[in-house]
Amino acid sequence: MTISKKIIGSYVVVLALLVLVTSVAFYALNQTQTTYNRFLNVDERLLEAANELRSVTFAQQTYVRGMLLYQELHQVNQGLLETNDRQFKQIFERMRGLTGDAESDLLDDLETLQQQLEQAQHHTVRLALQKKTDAAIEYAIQEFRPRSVALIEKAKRFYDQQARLLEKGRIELAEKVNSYTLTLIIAALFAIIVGLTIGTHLSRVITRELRENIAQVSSSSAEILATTSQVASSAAETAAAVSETTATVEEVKQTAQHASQKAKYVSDSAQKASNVSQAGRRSVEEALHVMHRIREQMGSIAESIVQLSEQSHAIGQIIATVNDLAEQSNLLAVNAAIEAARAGEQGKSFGVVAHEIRSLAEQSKQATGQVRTILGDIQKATNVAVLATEQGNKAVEAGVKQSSETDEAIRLLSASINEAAQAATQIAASSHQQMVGMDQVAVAMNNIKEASEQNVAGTRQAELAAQGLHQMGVRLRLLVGGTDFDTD
Amino acid sequence: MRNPPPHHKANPKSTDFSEVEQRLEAARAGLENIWAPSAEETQQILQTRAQTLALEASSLGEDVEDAVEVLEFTLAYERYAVETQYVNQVAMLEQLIPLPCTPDFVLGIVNLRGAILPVLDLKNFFELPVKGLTDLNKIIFLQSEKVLFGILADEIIGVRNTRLRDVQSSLPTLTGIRKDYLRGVTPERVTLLDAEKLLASEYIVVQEQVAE
Repeated sequence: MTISKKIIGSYVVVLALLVLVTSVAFYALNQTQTTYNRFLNVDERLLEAANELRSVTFAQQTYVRGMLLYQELHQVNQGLLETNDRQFKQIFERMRGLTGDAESDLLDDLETLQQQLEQAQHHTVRLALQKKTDAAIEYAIQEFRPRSVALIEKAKRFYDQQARLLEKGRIELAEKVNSYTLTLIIAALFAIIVGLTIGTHLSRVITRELRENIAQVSSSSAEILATTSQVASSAAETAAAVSETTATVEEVKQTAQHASQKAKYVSDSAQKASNVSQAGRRSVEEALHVMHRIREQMGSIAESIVQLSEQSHAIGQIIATVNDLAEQSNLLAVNAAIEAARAGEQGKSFGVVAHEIRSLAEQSKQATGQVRTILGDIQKATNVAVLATEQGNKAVEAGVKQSSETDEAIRLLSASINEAAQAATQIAASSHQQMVGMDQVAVAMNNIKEASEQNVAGTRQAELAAQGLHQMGVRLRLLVGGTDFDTD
Repeated sequence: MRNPPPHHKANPKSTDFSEVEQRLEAARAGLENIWAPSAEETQQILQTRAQTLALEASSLGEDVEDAVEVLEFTLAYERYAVETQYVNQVAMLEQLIPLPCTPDFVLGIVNLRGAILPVLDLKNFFELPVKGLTDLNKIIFLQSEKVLFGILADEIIGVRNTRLRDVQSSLPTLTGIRKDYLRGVTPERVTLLDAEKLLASEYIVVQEQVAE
C-alpha cells in the first residue's frame, strides 16, 4: 500500500468521522431549531390566539352590552360586532392552520361554542334592534353571557393546556439538546482518538518506510558512486582498448593490403603457369605426334628387317645350292682322283688337277660355311633388331600412354591453376573488401572513441548526480529523524 | 663381312648414325669390291694358291714307293679310309629305295646311271653306337671282280697317300666283326678299312627267305 493511499485512506477515515460528527451536530441543531420554530410559530401563536380569543370574547361582551345599553350606538356596535365576528373567524382559521389532529377536538369544542355564542349574540342583537330590550337583556343574561364565559373559560383552559405543552416541550428540548451534546462530545472524542491513532500509526509507518527507503537510497547512491567510478575506469580502459583496436585495425589493413598484393602476384603466377601448361600441352601433343611417327618408323624398320631376314634366307638357299655344288665338285674331284689313280702313271698329272679341283671345292665349302655362319649371325642380329623394334614399339606405346597421362595431368594442372587463379582473384577482391571494411571499422572505432569519451563525461555527471543523491539521502535522514541515524 | 666394332654396344643410348652410315657405305663398297677385286688382290690370291700348290707337290712326291692311295671319309664322327684301288666311284645319295626282307645294314638300292646297286650302312654293319643324326648322304661304291656295292658315308674328305708302315694294325681294343674288317689306324687317327675282306665277305651276301 502506497503512502499516498495510506494518507488518503486516513484522511478519508478522519473526514468520514468528521462528516458523521458534523451531520450528527447538524441533525441535532436542525431538530432543535425545528422544535424551537414550532415553539415560536405554533405554540406561541396558539397561546397568542387563545389570548386574542379571550380578548375578542371580552370585546364581544362589551359590544353586546353596548348594544343593550345604548340604543343610539346600535349602528356602531353592530359594525364592531361584525368586525368581531370576522376576527373570530380569522382567529379560528389561524388556529386551525396551526393545530394538528391532537388539538382539533378542543378546537372543535371551541368553535362549536363560539358558533352557539354567535347565534346567541345574533339573537340578542336582533332583540335589541326590535327594541325588546328586556327580552334582549334577559336572553343575554341567560343565554349569551354563560356561553361567553364558558368560551372564555375554555379559551383559558386551552391556553393553559398549550402553555403546559410548551413547557413540556421545552423540557424535552433541553433533554434532547443535552443528549445531542453528549453524543457530539463522544463522537468528537472518538474522532479525535481515531484521528490521533491513525496519524500516529501513519506517521510511524511512513517514517519507518521512509527511513528504510532513505537507507536504501543512501546505500544505493553509495553503490551508484562506486559503480560510476568503476564505469569511469572501465571507460578509460575502453578508450585504451579502442586505441589499441585502432592500431590493430591499421595493422590488419596493412596485412589485407599485403594479402591483396600477394593474391595479385599469385594470380599473375597462375596466369603464367596456365600459359606454361598450355605450352606443355602443346609440347605433349607434339610429343604424341612424334611418338606416332616413331611408331610408324619402327614399323617400317621392322618391315625392312623382315625383308632383310627373308633376303638372307634367300642367300642361305643360294649358299645351300653353292654348298651342294661344292660337294658335288668335291665328289667329282674324288672320282677324278680315283680314276687318275686307276690310270696309273699317266693319270698322275690328272690326279694333281683333281686334287686342285677338290681343294677349290673344299674352299668353296668353307666359304659357304662362313657365309652360313654369317647368315646365322645376321639372323640373330635381325631377331635382336626385331625384338628391339618391338621393344621400341612398346616403349613408344608406353610413351604415348605416358604422354596421354601427362596431357591429362597437365590439363588437370591447368584446371587447378585456373581455379587457383580465380581463387586468387577472389582473394584479392576479398582483401580489398576487407580493406574497405577495415576503413569502416576504423571510422566506427573513432565513433566508439568519441562515444567512450562522452561516456566518461556522462559518467562524471552521473558521479556528481550520485553524490547529490547521497547528500539528499543524508538530508532526508536528518529530516525523518536523527535518533536512529546511525542504525544502518 | 666384318664383325661389328666392340664400341657399338658401349653407348646404346645415343646411336651415332653418321658412323652407322659410314659403316654401311664401307660394307657396300666391300661387297662391290669382292666381285671386282683389284689387280693387286688378284695377284696376291694367285700367288698364295701357287705357293700352296708347290707345297702340296713337294709333300706328295717325297717317297712314292711305300705309299698307298686311300680315300678318306667320316662316318658317325669318326674318320675312316679305304684304298682307292677298291673304289669304283663316289656319288651323292639320291633316290634310295628301301629293300624289304634284308638285314638292317642293307639300306636299299640306288640307281647309279642305269645300274641298280645295293647300299650298305657300315654303322649297322659294325654295330657302331648311334650318336645323333649325321648327313649320311654320300655313297662310296666299292668294287671287286665279283661284287659292286655302295657304303654310306657322312662326308668324303678326299684322296691322299698314306704310308703302309705307319699303319698300326689291329688295335687290341677292337673286337668282333670290326676287328675282322679293319687293317689298322694311321698316325692321323684314321681307321683304315680292309676293303678286300669286306668285298670278299660272305656275311654281306644276302640269302634271306621271306617267311610265307
